[in-house]
Amino acid sequence: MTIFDTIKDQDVPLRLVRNFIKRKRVPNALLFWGPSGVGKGLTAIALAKVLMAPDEEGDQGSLAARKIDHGNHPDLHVLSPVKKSRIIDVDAIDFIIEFASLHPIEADRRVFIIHEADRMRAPAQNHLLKTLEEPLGKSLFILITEHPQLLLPTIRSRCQRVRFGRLRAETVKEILLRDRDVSPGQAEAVASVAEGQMTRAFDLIDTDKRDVVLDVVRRLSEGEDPMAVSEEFLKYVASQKKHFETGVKAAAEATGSPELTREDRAQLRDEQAALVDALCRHDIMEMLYLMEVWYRDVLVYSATGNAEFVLNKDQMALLESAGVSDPDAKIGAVEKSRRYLERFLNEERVFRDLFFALAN
Amino acid sequence: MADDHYLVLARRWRPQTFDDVVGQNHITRTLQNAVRAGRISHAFLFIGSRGIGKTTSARILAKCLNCTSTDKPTPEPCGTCENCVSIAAGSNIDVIEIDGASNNSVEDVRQIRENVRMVPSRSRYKVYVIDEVHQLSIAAFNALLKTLEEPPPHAVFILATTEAHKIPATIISRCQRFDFRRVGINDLMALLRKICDAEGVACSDEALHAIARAADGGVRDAESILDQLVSYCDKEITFKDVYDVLGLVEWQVLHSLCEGLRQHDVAVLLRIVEDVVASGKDLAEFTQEILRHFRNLLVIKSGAPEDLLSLPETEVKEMTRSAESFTLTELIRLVEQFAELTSGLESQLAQRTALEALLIRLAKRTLDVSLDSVLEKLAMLREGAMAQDAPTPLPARKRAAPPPPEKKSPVAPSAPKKAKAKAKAKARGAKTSRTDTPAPAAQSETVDPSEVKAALEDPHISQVVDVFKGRIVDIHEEPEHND
Repeated sequence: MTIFDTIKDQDVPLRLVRNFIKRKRVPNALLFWGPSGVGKGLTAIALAKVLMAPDEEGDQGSLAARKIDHGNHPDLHVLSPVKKSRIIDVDAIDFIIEFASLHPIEADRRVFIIHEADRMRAPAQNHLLKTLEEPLGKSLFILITEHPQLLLPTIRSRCQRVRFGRLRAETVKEILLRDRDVSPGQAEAVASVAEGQMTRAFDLIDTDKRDVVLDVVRRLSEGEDPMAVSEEFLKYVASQKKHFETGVKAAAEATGSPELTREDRAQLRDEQAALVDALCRHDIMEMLYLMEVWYRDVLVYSATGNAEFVLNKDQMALLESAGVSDPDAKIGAVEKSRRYLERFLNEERVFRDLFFALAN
Repeated sequence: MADDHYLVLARRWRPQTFDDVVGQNHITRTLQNAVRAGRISHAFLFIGSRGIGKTTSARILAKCLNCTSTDKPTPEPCGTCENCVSIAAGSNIDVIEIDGASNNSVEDVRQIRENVRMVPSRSRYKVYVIDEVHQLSIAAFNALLKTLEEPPPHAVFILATTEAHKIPATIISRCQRFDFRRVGINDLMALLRKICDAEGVACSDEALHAIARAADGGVRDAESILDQLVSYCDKEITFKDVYDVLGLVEWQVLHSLCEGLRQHDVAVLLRIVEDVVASGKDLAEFTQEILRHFRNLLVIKSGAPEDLLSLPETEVKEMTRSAESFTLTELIRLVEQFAELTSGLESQLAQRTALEALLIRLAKRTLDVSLDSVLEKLAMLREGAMAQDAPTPLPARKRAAPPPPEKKSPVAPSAPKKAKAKAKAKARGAKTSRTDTPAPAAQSETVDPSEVKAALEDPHISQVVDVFKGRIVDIHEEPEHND
């Protein structure tokens, strides 16, 4: 079993990457794009390992591979968005451009991995252009993004673009059954709801989001007061936030160094708050996603009467009993709430409005 | 492992003479003639989209100016003299290539101004190539102005950028401006064929066409896709390989989608989406392709010349047949709706849901609501009414919309009365008087409530009524009601 075999369902990217190595045609700039949680990062690291620990495609125990795992290989540079604004700024790019002109230390080339490359602001992208096309030293840039259209066309055209697709539902199910303690029925339902994104599937199993959302839509369809439902839902959101806060604090205390000035501590607090915000936001968006998928199922089932097209496969009973009128409009209402939340409107109001719109 | 570092095709095939530059004849010819006649401007501005030869042309021009094979600038640089070789390698001491994005401050420009005064050390001209010049700060641009207008005789500036609108007008007016064009599919195909032959790669014409189409006018994009495919494929690059690597959907799928829409078959449509998802393709791209497909159908339907499509012939034939089954209005509406969907799709929570919801909406609605067909039916109705010579339910239903002329005459006498009392409310008076008058006796007598009901259920009537409300409303009716 080689290192690439741990990545599932990405036949085209893997064949490409393998052939790059086999035929010695590794380009100097790659753009890995596709939905999150399908193996872009894993492939990038695997490629780095094979390039830096030559002829050891299967050997994950070699010194170079271990260094990569621990994040301290001198020739591997990984860049991710930082701080509250989640931006990759010009300074960070200039920093790695400097390195790109230097000879590699241990391996025979330097590898730069830029996660969420679309978070590079326009000046940062412009700084990268010349180096990306004609690097002075031997180097490989791997840009990873979910939204390639947010990158400058001049950046995109300098990279070989490698597309990562969604995983097949069967694959997601298999991995869930292997890595989590779930029943086959549950695994199947989650796999089809997760739309081929492994991180989402794990998240749905590990948290009670799906139960909460299904409970909400059931109660709304049974004609319960949307006001009461929304209050309970907001209470749940608040409790999740508390949960994240304690989690982030505990993690910081476990690794944090005691020697901090007052400014440092203030900055740390800011960053922690930003992290909690991001986690909450992600959670809420995921729940909206689940709602949208639910009403999509209602729409599709009422249009075709065919259970095969339904994604929430374990909820057929609820689907048949739920008399939801005009699911199309409800999908629109969920989408509208998403737009409002992205513009940082008050969550309480957005959800109250949404639940009134979703009530029959 | 990789001792000899791989150089990507786009760099290996960077043109070294003006004759090799593809699709920019209007520029290469001008530049060559200028060099031949010795009328060399001191500042050039190269503008154009990504990967079509701006930097390349700048380097070739530098070679033309400094080639030592002749004793004056030549339109055909030799490529073998010391200057030509070092310019191609980027190491010439008198050709200074500056990354405008990283050196964008006033300080950087001041440095250029200091250095530009020194005479070139080994060549005729000192050439400054400032790439990505749009990234210079406003202050930096201004600092450059004087030098750009009157540089020392040995200096030539070449500015290159993708974004012309970010360049101050004062800079543009001091330069000779050259606008690079996107390269046509045929030029791209010819270039790709040349590269394939030289690299010893077999590649079908269909595949080349698909690559050229995906490159969207960019030479570097085309070369980069080809490079990738050479890595991907074993012996020959086929059409299918291109589609697999780029994640495109075969056009047959789009045709079955059209068929599904025409047949109002929701199951077929959902199955297509399911298949696209299961094969790991990107739904946003798929939606783009649907949009492009309907755009192409629209082009065919409107009778525009076929070369606007830039499609292979077999596909055009199939499309012409498909276009016949839609009316112009339908196609316009489809294009509009898919354009709306694509514009917001990237940020949607669930792209699949958005696409499926639209398809279901389209399939459930009768597509056949073109103005033509409605007018046709209207004419038919009128004939029918005359033949019957009896009060049709139509005027009764229309009461809400434009008032029949007979209604106005009984109202008229009351209007002047009000006008006398209040001249101000003249316009409003007419309006209120209309609502004041209860349903005229002469009209309402003939209308039977059951008749009204029957009229409403008649699809023709309801269609006509909707037209008269001032817009064509989506009419929900069973397809079998159609003629």
